[in-house]
Amino acid sequence: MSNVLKLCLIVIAGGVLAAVTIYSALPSRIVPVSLVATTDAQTALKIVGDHGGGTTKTFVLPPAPRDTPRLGLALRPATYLLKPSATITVVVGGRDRCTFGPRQYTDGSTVTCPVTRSGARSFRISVRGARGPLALIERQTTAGKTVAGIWVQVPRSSLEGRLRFVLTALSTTRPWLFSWPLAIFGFAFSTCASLWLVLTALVGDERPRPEAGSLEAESDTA
Amino acid sequence: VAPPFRIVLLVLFLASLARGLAFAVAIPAWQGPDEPAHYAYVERLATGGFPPFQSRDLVFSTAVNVSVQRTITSFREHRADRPLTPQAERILLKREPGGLSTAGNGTLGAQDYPPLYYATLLPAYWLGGNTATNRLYAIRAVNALYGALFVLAIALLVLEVTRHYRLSIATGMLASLPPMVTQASATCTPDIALALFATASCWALVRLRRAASRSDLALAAAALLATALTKPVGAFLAFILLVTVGWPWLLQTVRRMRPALRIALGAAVAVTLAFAGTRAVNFAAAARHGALPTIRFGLSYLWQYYLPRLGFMKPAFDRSLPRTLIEPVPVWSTWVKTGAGYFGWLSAALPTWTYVVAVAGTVGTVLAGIAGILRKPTSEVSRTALRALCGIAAFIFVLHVTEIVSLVNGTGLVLQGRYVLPIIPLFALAFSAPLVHFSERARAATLVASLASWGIVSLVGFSTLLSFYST
Repeated sequence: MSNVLKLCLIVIAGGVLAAVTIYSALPSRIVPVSLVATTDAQTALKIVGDHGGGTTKTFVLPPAPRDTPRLGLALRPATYLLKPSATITVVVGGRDRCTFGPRQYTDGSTVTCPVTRSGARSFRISVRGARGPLALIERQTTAGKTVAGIWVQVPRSSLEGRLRFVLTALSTTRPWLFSWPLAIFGFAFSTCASLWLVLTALVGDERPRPEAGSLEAESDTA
Repeated sequence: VAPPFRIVLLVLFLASLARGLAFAVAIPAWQGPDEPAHYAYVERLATGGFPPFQSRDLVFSTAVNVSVQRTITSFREHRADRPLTPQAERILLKREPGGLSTAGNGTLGAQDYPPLYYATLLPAYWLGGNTATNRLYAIRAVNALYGALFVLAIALLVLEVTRHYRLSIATGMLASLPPMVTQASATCTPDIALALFATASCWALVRLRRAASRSDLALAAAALLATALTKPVGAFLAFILLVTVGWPWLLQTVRRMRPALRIALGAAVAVTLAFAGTRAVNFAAAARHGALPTIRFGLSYLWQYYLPRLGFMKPAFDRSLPRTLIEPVPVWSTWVKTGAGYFGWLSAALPTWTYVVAVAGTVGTVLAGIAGILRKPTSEVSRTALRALCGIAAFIFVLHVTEIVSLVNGTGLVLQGRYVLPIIPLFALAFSAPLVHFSERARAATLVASLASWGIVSLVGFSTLLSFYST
């Protein structure tokens, strides 16, 4: 086998190993996350009383971050340890509408409504068919405002989206020189080079070469 | 070194360097063990301070505090919302301003460390940029360089002992694969520098044994001194290496000395080790408990470290510590888990099966190495291997003694597997070099098994880092 062919095979094998390793690290799904810095402080705002029923409320929203693709509004309904029973309808800015049935959320979980237009300044929530209390968990922003809905980004869950997610994370809070290309190409190179070294170490042509003055040679002569 | 082998060594160096840099990127800033403390030491030196002479009042500089806030604290605060989208992270984590004050005092855990390692990082600190994060990554790049040199030195050490090219390449590869070695190469901690200097010491001592030229003597002295000046435990390590690896030469040299010189030298070594001991552990506090109770506790500690506790024994380990660090007996969690791969302060552990694979690969190499020694027990390689084994036992005993004294004081930290990184050259001499006594086929089979197992662990290590810290 020619050296060029060997090298190609090693690069392919190393590349596949590196790709499989990186693929195994990709998140299976990416949940929407906050675009607003918040503190740990949170309070439950009861919008439906203990006897259940329905209600419609309107809440003011802080301005949405600009130039953020795949925007969404995240809400956290709370049912006070009871099984969810209400159907929740959220209308953001009068245009984007989402409906969440009782099977689509749990007590304290987050529901996300994709938003197509970022200019919304308020959202309306309608609750129907609740057999017990229902609250919205409000968060406090670092600016000190209490908000019932948080702007979030809905990441792509495709392979490309998940890969992009990891690669961008590798570049965040690092100096530009130490970003994802160095990590990925460094890892891929080391994998290919290691494969070549293993082959060299195991099936190379070199024979043991006891040389004059070596410990083994000294021992044998002794 | 034959020309074709030079290219192989170069590739080995570059592969290790690339892996170290990849890990340096994958591990977020300040996530290395005690990384803020070690970085602070460099910062103190760069700003004209000398931590061992500074007061114990710890004051991190504004530059470090802001960097830690921007990279660790914000990162950790958002872990409840994980996985965090990078776009969101960019919006939430504001850029760190440059030119912040680097004035501070003390270095926390590294206060009593000798200065050599930190002094070598000063150029990287100065050239690294104007933020603590940038400087930290520049320092990490130097550590990756140390890691690559360490792997190269391991290969040269085995070549020096066995004169077997392929075995030395395989051993160098093996030394480069444990994720803990790569993590040490990727973060601002002195472990990999100590491992490099220890390997250089072994190499120089082996050369001394063969032909004690002046250059080899100077090299050995410099390497041993560097080992002693890298960590508090470095002086003990240098002494152990000198006595075990350098034994025949040392014996001959001491015999040739005049009695007065011999006594003076012995006294100097004793004083140095006593001083290093006071830097490594707080003997004064332990002395209050008395020698006998400390020894009794130490024996109980050693038993409980490697074997399940017996009914009449008091628990030697603080059960409030995370279970992952002390269960089922500390030997597994310390030497195996934190020795193979256990990353950062947020404790990214490898999957359990990976540790089993790592243990299987290591046990296989150890058994093969012992078989190699038994095959030709009188050969120089085997005798070197046996001395290296004694060195391994002695160093682990020193680590245990420091731990026992700390535990008696009530301030003890659990040992970490990375503490054995500096004796990897002794492992190479004890278990890898004797493989030279095998036939080509048997040796290849052993090396395939070892390299495959640690290769898998290495790949899983990078995958674990990515999935833990980037998703």
